[in-house]
Amino acid sequence: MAKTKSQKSGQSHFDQSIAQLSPSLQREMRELRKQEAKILKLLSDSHKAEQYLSHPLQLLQAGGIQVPTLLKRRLQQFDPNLAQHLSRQTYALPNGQTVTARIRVRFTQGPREG
Amino acid sequence: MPGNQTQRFDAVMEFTEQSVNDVISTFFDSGGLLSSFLNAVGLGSAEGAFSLDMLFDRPSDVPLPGGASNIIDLRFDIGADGSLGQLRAVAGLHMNRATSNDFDIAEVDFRNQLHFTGFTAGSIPIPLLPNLFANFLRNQVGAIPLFPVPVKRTATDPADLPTQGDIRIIDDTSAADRDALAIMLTFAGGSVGNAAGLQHFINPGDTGAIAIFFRWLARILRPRVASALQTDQANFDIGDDFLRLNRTIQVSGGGETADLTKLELRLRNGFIELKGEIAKSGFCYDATGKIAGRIRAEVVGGELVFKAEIDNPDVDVDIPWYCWLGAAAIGVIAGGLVGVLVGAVVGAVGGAVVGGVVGGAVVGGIVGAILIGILVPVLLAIAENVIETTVEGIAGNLADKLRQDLQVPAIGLNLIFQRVFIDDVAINFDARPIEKVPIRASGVLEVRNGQLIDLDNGQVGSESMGSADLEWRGSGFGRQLRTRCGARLARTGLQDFAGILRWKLYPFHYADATVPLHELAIPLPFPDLPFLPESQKYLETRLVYALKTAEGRYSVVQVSEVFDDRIRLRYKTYEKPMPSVQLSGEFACDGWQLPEVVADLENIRFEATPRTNLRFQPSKVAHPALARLGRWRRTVIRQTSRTGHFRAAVENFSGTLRYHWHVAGTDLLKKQGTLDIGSQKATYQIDQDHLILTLQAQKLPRALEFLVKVTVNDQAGNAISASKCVKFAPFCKSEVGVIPVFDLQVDTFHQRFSVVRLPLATLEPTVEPTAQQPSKTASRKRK
Repeated sequence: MAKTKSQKSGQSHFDQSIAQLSPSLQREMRELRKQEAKILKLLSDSHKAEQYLSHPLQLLQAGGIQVPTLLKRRLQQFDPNLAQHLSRQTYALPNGQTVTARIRVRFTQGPREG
Repeated sequence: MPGNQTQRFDAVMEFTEQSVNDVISTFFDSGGLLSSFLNAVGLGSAEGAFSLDMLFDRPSDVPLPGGASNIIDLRFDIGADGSLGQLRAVAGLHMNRATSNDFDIAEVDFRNQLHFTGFTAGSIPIPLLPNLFANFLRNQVGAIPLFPVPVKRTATDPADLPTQGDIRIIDDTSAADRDALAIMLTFAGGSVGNAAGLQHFINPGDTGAIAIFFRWLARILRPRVASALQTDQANFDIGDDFLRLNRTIQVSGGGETADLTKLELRLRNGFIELKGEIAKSGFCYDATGKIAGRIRAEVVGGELVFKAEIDNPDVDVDIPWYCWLGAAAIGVIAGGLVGVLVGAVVGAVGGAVVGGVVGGAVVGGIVGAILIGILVPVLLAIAENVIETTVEGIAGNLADKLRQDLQVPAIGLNLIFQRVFIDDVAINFDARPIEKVPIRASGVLEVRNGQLIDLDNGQVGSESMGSADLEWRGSGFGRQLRTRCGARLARTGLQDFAGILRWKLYPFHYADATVPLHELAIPLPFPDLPFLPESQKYLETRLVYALKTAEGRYSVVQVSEVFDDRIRLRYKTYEKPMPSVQLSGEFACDGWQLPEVVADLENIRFEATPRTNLRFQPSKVAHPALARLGRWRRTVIRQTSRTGHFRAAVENFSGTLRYHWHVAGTDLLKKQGTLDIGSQKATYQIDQDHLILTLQAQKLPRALEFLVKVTVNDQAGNAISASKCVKFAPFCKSEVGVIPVFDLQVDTFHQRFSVVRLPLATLEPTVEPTAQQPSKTASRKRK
């Protein structure tokens, strides 16, 4: 699979991806990232990856990951049903067929830095 | 199995015994050829009537020279009921490559391969007649040109004319006795296959079939698919059963670009498998998508139609764990979690939205934009445009050449496509010989209750008419068609009026007859309902009846419509055996042309298929009745050939004949020379019944019209003549299929059609047509 694209050369991919978050949330994301090895081990299980897609907070807590307070509050409000928009999509084609895409999501470490 | 049907020939055309029997019967009947022989040997009482049984079985009761191959056994029953005797000839077929540089002609070779002739009356062999028959076949008939194969020996393009034609009789000695005549075609870059391994592959009920070796199709498709994808054809590999991309290339459409990592067409049992893989990366994702499908083919209304069934796509998306978490957190802030999903996965690269709004939710994302937005239209374009127009072009070219090409003498054939199978690609057809015999009268007659019909002149009238063959008498359900004045009728049991040829009328038993209304049509229940159209009160059987008219001519009639007060009757009456000549010919607008790839849409039309019958079908349905999207067409203007071929066909005029040709008032006295046609210079060549005219001027007029006349004399000084007004127009138009590059096809796909993301709720297997198409307010085309 091709490498995830990086937009700016000065910042790491991680920093760019959280740039839109508030400074407090950015701090908490950096805090959480210290447990990245544990998170990735957890997400290497496909069932757990599925849970992470729809219930990220629940999965992290069940896996013994310490989720900082503000981030936890935001993730508590995540609507699990909406993740289905990514995991299952059905299309009507103009030739009269309907097709349903089987979508498998795998969570990765992201592009290596440096 | 690939190449099994064609035995590695590029293409094979097969004809059943019956269809070759029809061609030979038409040949012997068309010129009154057999009739002239029968008259000459004292069998004139047969009045030219015969029936033929032709066998591909190698005869065991006749001594054949060693090595004699491709043998046919012709058995003629002479006279209307066959009572005057049986003529027999055993001869060989061969491919004549000597007569023309431009044609290999599959012919029955009486000159060099007539192995046996015989004549029996009852079971008694009659001496002398076999020798006379042999002389007639060798010297007067010479050969029967069955199928001319147009060739171009120096062709380098596999889509050009064949470089060689070959012939093989398939004599199946098993109990199934599935015999056939095979014409094998080899194109540039191909090689001669294993003729001995060929077997009958014609569908029961059809009279012929064309099988296309997938490897040849792949050789033709490779440059077209590559051009349509705007890449080099070296990026595709071909094999006996596949055509596949061998490197990653970029594809785009609808404002998106992605990597096409795999594209493969593979021949399977009954369909062509289609596989595509596409890859795209964005700021927070790497995605790959795979779609597989099957291309199936059918014949609809005589036209070949290829449709693709698309399977459910498989998509793998890699997302860094923190992207997902951050997106979820932003989504909560933004209060639009669908937007977060789109934003996290696609929004970071400005992902496009495909389809529009369904149920108030914005839909789209990587799946819609790339797989459904690019790959599906590309796969549909390959199936419905590239493969269909290519196979249609191949079959159409072969059918055109067999229909009539006056460059070589041959019985023309109309091929009516019936069925198509993919294993190799085999197209079954109904082959109908084109007869050239004089017609006395033909047309459609409207006959009121109580009226009489004269089939010799096509007249309808009352009892005061001088002559009549049929009467439509009686009233109500008691009406009947009855023979009059000595005319006699035979029930053929057939319904195909167009398929009747004159020689097929000979063997029937003709008698005075009455045909009741209920044999012609079934009155439908509730006929008096006021809203029922008059034409729908009867269901016509469309049975065909043969007649010998009161004046002794063969005729064929079919009651095509029945009303309360009248009938409509289709008829064709053949002229009596009498000396006549027919003249045919033209400056043809011919050509062997396969669809081209075009890079712009100037002068190109997309003719969308009417979508009234469209039904959404889940892909799990085994063979969904899919709609095809449409056809790409353009009008091609080509130069008319400056060389015209004209042929004179005589009927019942035998012996040594001399042909005198006159063109635009000039007698053509030599075998070749020059003449003026108006202000145009022309050259001519004459070979008895064949005139070749070539216009010489560099700048041709907008149109030219002149008279061609032929006069035929026999040794006794009798003469018959025919003339034809010939029009020459320097250009001719034809409608052809084209292959626009896929960028354009994908853009057009999105302009004309919507790929609609459906709600997450479970779909019903099939919904009513009114609910199938999104309303204008509910759909939005992709930008």
